[in-house]
Amino acid sequence: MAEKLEDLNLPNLTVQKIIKDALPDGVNVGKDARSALSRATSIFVLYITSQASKEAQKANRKTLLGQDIIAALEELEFEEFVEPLQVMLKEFKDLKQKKNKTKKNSEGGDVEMTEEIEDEAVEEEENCETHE
Amino acid sequence: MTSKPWGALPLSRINTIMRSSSDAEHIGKVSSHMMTKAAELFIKTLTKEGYRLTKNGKKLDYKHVAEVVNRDDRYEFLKDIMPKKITVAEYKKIVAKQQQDDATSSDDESGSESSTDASDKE
Repeated sequence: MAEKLEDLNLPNLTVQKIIKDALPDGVNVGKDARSALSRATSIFVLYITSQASKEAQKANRKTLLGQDIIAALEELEFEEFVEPLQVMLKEFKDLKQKKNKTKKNSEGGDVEMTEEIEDEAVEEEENCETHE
Repeated sequence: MTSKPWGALPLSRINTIMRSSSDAEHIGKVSSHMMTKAAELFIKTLTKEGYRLTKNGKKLDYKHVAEVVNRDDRYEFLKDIMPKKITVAEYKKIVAKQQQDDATSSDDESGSESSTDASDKE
């Protein structure tokens, strides 16, 4: 299934707001600058994803995980993004742990807490995920 | 996760881009969220780096962003889509010089004639 070109673009308004958020008040942004930043970000996503896929392949996994994104960012010299993302990863894991605990208590069954909580989370969510 | 009033970049769109780029069978939900956040950080970082290159600090232009890409090796993957723009006058100078170089590199005497022609041309 071929993606339409527009599908790879990011919504202008959101990009604009993120740009403004990064600048002091009152600074203007040229239209060309804005569209260049938007396109660059789409390409950035392609670029990081491509590297992250290699990381997953190295680990013989068919699923792209958060750790692959982190490894890719480090490999491609965007280490400064890693720390906030690791915080995010931890929050997801904690959230999943909480959910699993609640499940275990309510069902009283043998819900096994696997080491890779993220893997489990991924599988669980993959099952109910609708592809958009 | 985010407290921004406008929300973040759309997860579904980021997902679409990721799927078009990855050989992986599944894109984990957590990695989609992380990529969305990484994309936001990327916009901010490139914006700030561009802003540092502005002289008056009042307006961020294309040329500032292009200059960042040109200077920093980690943005090499963007070089093709963000070329440095030049003015028409600068372009004409480059063309004229190239034609001069081509002419003088040939052994022909007529080379000097053509170089004159070149500089006379638009």
